[in-house]
Formats: sequence, structure tokens, C-alpha cells
Amino acid sequence: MRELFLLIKININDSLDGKFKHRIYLLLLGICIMLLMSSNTMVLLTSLPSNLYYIVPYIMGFASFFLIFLTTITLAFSYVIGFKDYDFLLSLPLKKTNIYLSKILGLVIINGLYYICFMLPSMICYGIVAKMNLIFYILMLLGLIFQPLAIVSIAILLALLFVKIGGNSRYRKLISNILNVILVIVVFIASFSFSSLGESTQFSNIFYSLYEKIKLIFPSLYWYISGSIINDILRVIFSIVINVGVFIIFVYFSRNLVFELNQKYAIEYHNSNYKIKGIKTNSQFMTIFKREWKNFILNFNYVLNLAVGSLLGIIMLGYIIFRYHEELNMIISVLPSNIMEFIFLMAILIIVGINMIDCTSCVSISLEGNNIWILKSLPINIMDIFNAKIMVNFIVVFIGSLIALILVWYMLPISFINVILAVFYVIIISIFVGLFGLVINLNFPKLEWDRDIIVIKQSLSSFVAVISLLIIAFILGIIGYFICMNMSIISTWIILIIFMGLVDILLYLLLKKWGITKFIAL
Amino acid sequence: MLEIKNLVKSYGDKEVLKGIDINVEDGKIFGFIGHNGSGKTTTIKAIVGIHDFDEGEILIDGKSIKTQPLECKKILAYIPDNPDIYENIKAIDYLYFIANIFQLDKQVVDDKILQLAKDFEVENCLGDKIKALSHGMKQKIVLIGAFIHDPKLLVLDEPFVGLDPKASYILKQKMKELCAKGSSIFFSTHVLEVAQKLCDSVAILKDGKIVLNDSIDKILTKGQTLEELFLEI
Repeated sequence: MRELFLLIKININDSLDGKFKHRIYLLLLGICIMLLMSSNTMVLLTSLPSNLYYIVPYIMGFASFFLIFLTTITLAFSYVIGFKDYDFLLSLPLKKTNIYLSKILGLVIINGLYYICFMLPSMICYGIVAKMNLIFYILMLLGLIFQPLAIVSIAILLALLFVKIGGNSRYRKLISNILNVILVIVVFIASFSFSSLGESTQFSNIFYSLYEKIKLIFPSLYWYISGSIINDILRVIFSIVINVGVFIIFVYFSRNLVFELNQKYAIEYHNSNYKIKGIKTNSQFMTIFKREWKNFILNFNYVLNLAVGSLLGIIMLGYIIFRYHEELNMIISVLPSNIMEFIFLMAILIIVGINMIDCTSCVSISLEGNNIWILKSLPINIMDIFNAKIMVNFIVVFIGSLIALILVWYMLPISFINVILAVFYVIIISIFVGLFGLVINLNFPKLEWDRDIIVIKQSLSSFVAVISLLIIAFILGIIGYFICMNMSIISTWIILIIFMGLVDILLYLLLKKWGITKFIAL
Repeated sequence: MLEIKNLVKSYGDKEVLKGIDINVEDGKIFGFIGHNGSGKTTTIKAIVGIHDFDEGEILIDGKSIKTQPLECKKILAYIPDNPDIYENIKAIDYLYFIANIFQLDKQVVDDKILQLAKDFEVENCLGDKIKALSHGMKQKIVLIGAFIHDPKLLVLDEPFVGLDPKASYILKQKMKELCAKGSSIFFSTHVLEVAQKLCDSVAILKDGKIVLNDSIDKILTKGQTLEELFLEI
């Protein structure tokens, strides 16, 4: 037990980086998540009649499970497979079970903290609005930390199985990465189709049908929440037993698999018959850009955390458009053209706003890590390095936004000039995201790390960039709305394009002067 | 080829380099010696433009690394003590990356890479990902990347660490070949026998200051080995 405790403690200390500001930032991240979940819960509560308030904790619990599942899938690789201290720990007089448990529990603790940030404010908001008694809060707190165990276990098991499926093949990592991305997309579509939007247009009916499905598919969540609400301690204990039971079974059956996969993971594929195919000469900029693009596309954590969002958005949009094509056509056919243009404008502002959080450049400097000496010692124009990073981000945001734009245009028969202006807007915003992210990363670089996922998900730079971009997206949406209330839609597009275009120019000039100095000082 | 004048560098309150003066002529090998933490790596990183410095001047072939960094970097090559390079790409792709940065002639690049890979006995590893290579093999790939564009100034930070005896021998031969073509070499090392055999001049750095800067011939005529002198200092 002492051994296990020491291992968990050192894992946590290592993850926390030891820096005070890093801990403060993690605390701020937790507070932001809690505020977001509280506001979402209150929105839901106000959209339902009082006799259906009880549904809200189930919906928030389901959403939390979904987020935890995705987080675990992305973190599993860094925590459970290919961890850097594998050789070191095995060389020490430590029980293999304790090494294994410390890694699994490390991941469980992180996801547990996320779950608390997601679920605790939701349950408290529900408790206050529904005027629940003290026993509700006691039972809620009792069962809270156990809830993520089962879902985390299942997510880790799937991640392990995908690595196992890859086997000893040369492309085993690519296979497991693709399987993970497919799983994320499938889970996303499945969770979205839960809502049965087409069966009713009333929110209460939609949420009730969602509640019925959650009861069936997540029994532990149902027992936990229902037990807390009706003050039935046995139900809460039963939910704890389900979660702990699933976790124990998972730990028992996966222990050997983890060590087997870690051993195989350490052996890289050797190409003994490789023949040089000949260099493809490129300009300096293209060379750096190709390297930047490869660094991005070959990094599963990078892609999953900072690019799959756009993809999921497109899938969701495509699903709505094609699943409810007839209903949407009926609604659109009676709309006047100025309303359609307004809907188009707001839809694009919202979609592009969401895609803005796919900010790859905000961690691109940090991800150079110990390799930064290469870029700094080679005869490369620093602005070319910046331009390559901005270009990668531009491609990610632009392609996602353009596809979404085409889908919206497909539904709304609007004038071509609106579409052209919208495309310009998308281009300007895509450049903006790259520039903005880079400025943030130069201000908050993190070059010392041993797991890239720490940089991608938990660095100050990614936190500041994503939150700021969300705020900026919101402000742009508000500005767009108020402008088009007073002027034509075309004028709104033009004003937004000019405004953000000027911002892009200013940011570029800032990078040319201040950015270069910052990079040299790294 | 390399002139360092009154180089001063501090990290916060700590003054690491306190006015270093070094001169490396064309076609010479210069050894840079000092105990751990004396400032060798700081000096080297200032030379190659990775870190800025507070005072002084560094001229490479008459050009300042501060005001003309690109021109300087075009004629130098740097090899760090730890071969941290891009882990997820193949060794050959890393070398092609370097070749493209230096805009080398397509016709000769492959032949050069193959020849150097053969010399360093890594021709069978070119198709492997860098993370699949051992520390010594990564070091060899980095060395090939440095030699590929025939630099006028080669800067190495403890280059013999992690190399097997044969690879060390080959590296020494390559260094001599490069010098014979008129290039200069500046390297730091803890292996004093190598410095004594290989270098034309050495400097010993202690607490941020140069305490000895002389040719090897003059040092040896005083009847002491480099090791004895270093321990004395």
C-alpha cells in the first residue's frame, strides 16, 4: 500500500510540474469548467417545467460520461502505454501490480477530478433549484468519486484492445490511432442520435426520451442520481458497487495485457531492406511547412485534441441536415430571403466560432520541446518558421469551416455574393486563429515536457488560447448580430472581414517585431 | 574563422560567462575544456545563435552572429551533446530535411548521405524511425546531418559521448578531413587525451573565465600533459 501510494504521489508531482503558476492555472481551469457546467445546468433547468427538473442531473451525468470517455481515450496512451519511466520502474524492487495500478489510478484520479468539475456544480444547481434536502447532498457526495470508474475502465480497455489489434505490424500505431478516431466519431454520433430530435420538437419530450435511454444504458448513473434524489442510500451504494466491481474486473484482466503491450511498444519496426528513394527538393519554406504538417498529422494526441472538433462539428451538422432534410426544407420554404441570409450569417459565425478552438499553433512552439535547437541553429528565417505553423492551423480551421459552410449553403438558397463573402470571412478567421495561437504560445512557452499530451491539453498556452478564442468567437457573434440589426447582411460581412483583416495585419506585424525577439530568447 | 570577443552571459543574477576571448583560425581544431557547469555549453549555444548573450561579439568568418545570424548559420553546423531530434520521422527524412534547408544540390545529396552513412555504419538504419535508434546511432545521424553540407565551422558539444570506439575514430578522421579543406572545428570535451591528440589549440574554462588558451605544442613543450595541467588549474 505504501509502495502504491509513493508511486501515485510521484506521478502526480511529476504531472503538476512543480511550478506554482501551473497549479494555479489548473485550479483556474477547474473553476472555468465548473462555471460552464453550472450555467449549462441552469439553462436546462429553465427550459423544463418543474416536474421534469429531475431529468437534468441525468443529462449532465450523461454529458460528463461522454466527455470523460473521450478524455480517457486520448490520455490512455500516455499514461498506460509507453510511459517513459517503464524501464526505470521495472528495474526497481517494486511489485508489477503496484506499478500498473499507479498508472491506472493516475488516470482515474485525473478523470475523477474532471468528473467532479463537470458533475458537482450540476448536482448542486439542481439541488438548489429543486430545493433538495441535506441527505441528497450527502448521498451525492458519497457516490460522486466512484461514478467515473466504470466508464474510465471501459475507455482504457478499448484503447488497449486497439493497440493489441495493431499487433506487430509496421503500421500498428497508425491502426490503433485510426481505430481510436473512429470510436470517438461513433460515440459522438451515437450520443447525438440519443436525443431523438425528429420524434418531437418539444424540449421536454426530447429530454425525457434521453432520460429513458440513459436509464437503460447507464444503470450505475441512474441508481446514483435516483438514489440521491429519493434519499435511497441502497441505490447509491449499489451504483458504487457496480463501478468498483467493473474497475476491479478490468484491473484483474488487463494487468498482463498492459505489460505485454508496453514491451511490444518499446520495440520499433526495423526496415532492413530500405532503399533511398531520392530527395524531393523543396524551398526552405516548403521544407519547414512539410515538417510542421507531418509533426501535426502523425501526432495522434495533437490531431484528436485540436482538429477532430471540426470533424465532429461537420458530422453533427451533416447529420442534422440529412436526417431532418424534409423538416428543414418545410421551415426554410416559408422564410423570406433576408431571414435566410441572416440565418446563414449567424450559422457561419457560430460554426466558425466553434472551429476557432482548433488552435494548433497555440502549442506548436511548445511541442518543439528539446528539438528547438534544430530550428534555432539552422539558417532558417524565423518568420518562415512562424508562417509554417500558421499555415498548418489555417488548413485545419479553413477546411473544417469551408465544408460546414458548403453544408449550410446546401440547405439555404442564398445569393452567391453572401457565400463569397462568407468564404473570405472564413479565410480571415483561419489566419487569425493561427496568428493568435502563435502569439499566445510565444508568451507562454513550455519546452520541457516528457509527454506531449501535457502540452496539448494542460499547458497554460492551450488554456489561454482556447478560452480567449471562445470569448472572441462569442464577441464576433454578438457584433455580427448587432451590425446586421442595423445594416444589411452584405455590409455586416464586409465590416467583419475588414475588421478581422486589420486584426490579422496587426498580429502579423507583432510577430515580426516582438515574436522574433521572443523566439530568439527561448 | 571564429572570433569571440569579451563574451558575457548571465542567467538572471548568475554571471555564467565573464568575458571570454577565443580565436579559431581557418583549418584548425580548437578544444574547449572545463569542468561540469563551467559554461561550455552556454558558450557553444551563443556561438551557434541558439542563445543570445549580454555583451561582447561573436564573428563567424567576419560576420556577426547577432546581426547576421542567417549568413553565419549557413556556413556552420552544430551538434549538441544530447541528440534530441525528431523522433517520429525516418533517419533519411531528417537528413533530407537538413539538405533542403541548406538547399543542397539534388544530384549529390543522396551520394553524400550514402557515403557518410557507410562511413558511420548506419546505412541499414536510414529507413528506420529515429526513435527506433540507439543513442549512439542517433548521434551518428546528427553527425551526418552536420557533415552533409561541408560547413566552414563545425561546432560540437561533447561529440564523443555515446559513440563506440570505431565511430569515434571515424569522427576524428572526418574532422581532420574537414580541416584539410580549410574548415575549422570548435568542440568541447571531457576526454582530454582526445583533445591533446586532435586539437591544435585548447582553452580551459573555469568559473566563466578562460584560464588557459594556448596551442597544444606549447603546452606539451612545458613537459606536462593536458590532464595534468587541467587538474592543476
